[in-house]
Amino acid sequence: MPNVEIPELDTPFTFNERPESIPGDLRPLWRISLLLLMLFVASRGKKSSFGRLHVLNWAIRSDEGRDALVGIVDGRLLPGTIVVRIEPSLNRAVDFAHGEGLLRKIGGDRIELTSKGESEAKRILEQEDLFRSEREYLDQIGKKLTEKVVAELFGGKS
Amino acid sequence: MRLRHLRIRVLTDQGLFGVDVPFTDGLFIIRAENSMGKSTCLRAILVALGMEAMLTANRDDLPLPPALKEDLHTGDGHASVIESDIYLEIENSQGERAVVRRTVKGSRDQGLIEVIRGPALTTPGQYSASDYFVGRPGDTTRDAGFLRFLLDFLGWDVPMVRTFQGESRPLYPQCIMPYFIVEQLRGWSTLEPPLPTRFGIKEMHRRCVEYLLGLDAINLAAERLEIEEQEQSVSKQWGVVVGALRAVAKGVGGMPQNIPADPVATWPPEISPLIMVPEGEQWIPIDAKKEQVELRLREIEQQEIPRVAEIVGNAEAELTSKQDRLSDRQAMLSRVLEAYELENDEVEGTRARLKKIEVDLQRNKDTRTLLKLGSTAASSMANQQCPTCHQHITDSLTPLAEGQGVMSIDENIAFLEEQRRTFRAVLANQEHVVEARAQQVTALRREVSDLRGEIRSLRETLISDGRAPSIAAVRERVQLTEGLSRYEGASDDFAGELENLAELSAKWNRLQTAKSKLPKDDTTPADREKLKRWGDLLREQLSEYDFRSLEIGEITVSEESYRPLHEGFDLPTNISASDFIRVIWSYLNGLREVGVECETNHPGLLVFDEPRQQSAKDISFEQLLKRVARAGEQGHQVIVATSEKEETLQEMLQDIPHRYHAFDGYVLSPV
Repeated sequence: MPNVEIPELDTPFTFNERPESIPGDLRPLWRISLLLLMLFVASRGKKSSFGRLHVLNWAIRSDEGRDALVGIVDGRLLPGTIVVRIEPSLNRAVDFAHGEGLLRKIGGDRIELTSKGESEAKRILEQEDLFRSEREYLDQIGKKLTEKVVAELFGGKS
Repeated sequence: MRLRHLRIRVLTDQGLFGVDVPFTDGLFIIRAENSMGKSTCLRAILVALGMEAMLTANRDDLPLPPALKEDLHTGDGHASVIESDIYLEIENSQGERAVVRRTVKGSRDQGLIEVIRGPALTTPGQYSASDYFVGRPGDTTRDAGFLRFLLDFLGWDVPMVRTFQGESRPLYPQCIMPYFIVEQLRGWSTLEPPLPTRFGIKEMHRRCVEYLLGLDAINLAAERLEIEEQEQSVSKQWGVVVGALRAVAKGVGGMPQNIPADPVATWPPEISPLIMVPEGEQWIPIDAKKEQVELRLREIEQQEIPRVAEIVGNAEAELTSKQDRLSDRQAMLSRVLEAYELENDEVEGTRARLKKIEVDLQRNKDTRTLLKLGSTAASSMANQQCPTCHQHITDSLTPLAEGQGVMSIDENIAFLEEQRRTFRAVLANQEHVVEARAQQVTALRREVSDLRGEIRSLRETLISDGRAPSIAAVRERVQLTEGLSRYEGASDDFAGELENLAELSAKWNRLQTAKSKLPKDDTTPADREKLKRWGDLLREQLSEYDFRSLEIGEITVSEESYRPLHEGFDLPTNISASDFIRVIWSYLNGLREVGVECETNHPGLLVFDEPRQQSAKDISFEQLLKRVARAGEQGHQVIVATSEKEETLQEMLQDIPHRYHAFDGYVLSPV
């Protein structure tokens, strides 16, 4: 192809770097707050295993995941038929929350809400407009998601 | 609003028990030891006023202790409750008095409150009485509803407010009273009074403060609500008419065009609305179609219906041409159907995309709310610092390219809203295309079936007796006449519906004018003055009560949420428990004191049940009493119920004007 000159383009130009839009669920503050709600609303004794949090975290973020987890908890679906997505961003959220003193790690892979985390969760719940759909879903799942089901989801023997 | 006299009567198997509390203006102190029935009195006041929603979400059982329902401690034993009643004499701002009576146990229905029109407790006599119902739908709106009576009696002109479902409801007195009657169990646990959530009122705390302070903001909000409601109703009717227009067009296999889907303020639109009907793969205006049909009809009406023998040659040619046309139309139909499928898939895809945007937008908005709350989870995150190593981090849980920045929350929300707008426009357009395509399919199907009929009649014509009239010609004439009358009918109906739109448009225009006249900002200068005064009173009291957790000078009352703020954020949760109580004292008493100088709707009544002075120091409680004792000269009434030690209390009250009502032992005693 011969060289073609386009005089209109023969001007100096620069690129401006624009900040990027990121999905709302990747904002640390959003995810940390959700994490607090998962522990406060849907975990026995405000404690949960890390794996269980991953299951809740996977389910709550899409309609398909929500339905699937309800199906499993209600016994309509077999745990073996579902692939739970482990998301590294949850690990980071847990690390940050830990750094802020909102939760503590107990006995290996279990996590517990601290009193600071608890009062924070309460403050969030006081705002009726916050996390409306997530809250509704966590209420629905409640404490029904047991560690046993989680183990089955991850392919362990029950 | 003033409380004048409380009387409780409990009939037991060991005789009549009860209590009388004659309230006075100014500071009124009730003292009794813990768990002797002091809070029973406070709860009885609320129940007598039909305010049980403040105490419980249970609608079947009144929130009162067993002493009024089953089993009463008599000091040396127990007595079984047979009947119990609560009487409360109240006074309104006109100085009129009424006694309300509620039966807790007995043959009368708990859902009834008897109102005696006169000071029957303080000045016994003959007064008229009537029953009102409470705790059921309509108790705030219907004439026989108790809360309606209460609002009328107290002269409270409460505003209409919006619920989460978008309905409009009166601001219930159960939501307002927690701002001046603080009950022991729940009242001291949150900064803003705990309001019953069962009514689903939006921004309930704001509406209550606006009402109590008599802010102009509430009238503006109400006006705005009224306009919005009318807008909704016009929009709804508009939608109905648009639906009717569509149905009219559909009746002749057409589509309406140039019809604004949402109300517009100018009528008629630049390009007049009309019906388009399909003509093969094209769309033409209904008037053009009508003209075509009329022309052809007139043409054949001029001729006599031809005999078969005369037209055999023509008919054969016509049959061939019709058959060609039929196969052409069938091919077209299958193309159009394919396009229809594809376009339908696109609509589905766009809908799914829009839903994802909505979800993401909600998450971003939640994050913004969290940031505004001054969440402690945010403290390092908001500064984009790692809470552990304090190095800079980006506002994202996923690793980004080196040096790549992230949009701020507000930018991200604006970005998503822009996307949503675009996709909504795309969706509307796609839906329109699909609908038109469906009409095209219908029209083509009809044409195909018509062609088949015509071919059949041409064949019949060709094989029938040469002297008989042409079946095809007769058929065409009938079809054209029918078609013409259908098109005419549709045009008339369409014009009629358009007149409805013209009317609605005029209404919409008036609403838009009214809306543009409302000020942009709901708070007026007078409102700001009151809020500033409230902030001053808040700070003044905080220093009197020895508040130490934060810099008092940095504490203000928000012009938006009306909550106390510290450096522009909600108060942090880590202030000490005693300072937390001090803020509640100052906040609620400040709200009352604004009414001393400014015109507000605050009833000038404040009731503190066991104001947790144990967690604040003795000295601050003394300061609180000193402060609220000014209620006497302010013409207000402040009632404090406490179990503070007798000697300490007497010492505190030495130089303070007050009335003192103490109980030795059980509050409910033999009468």
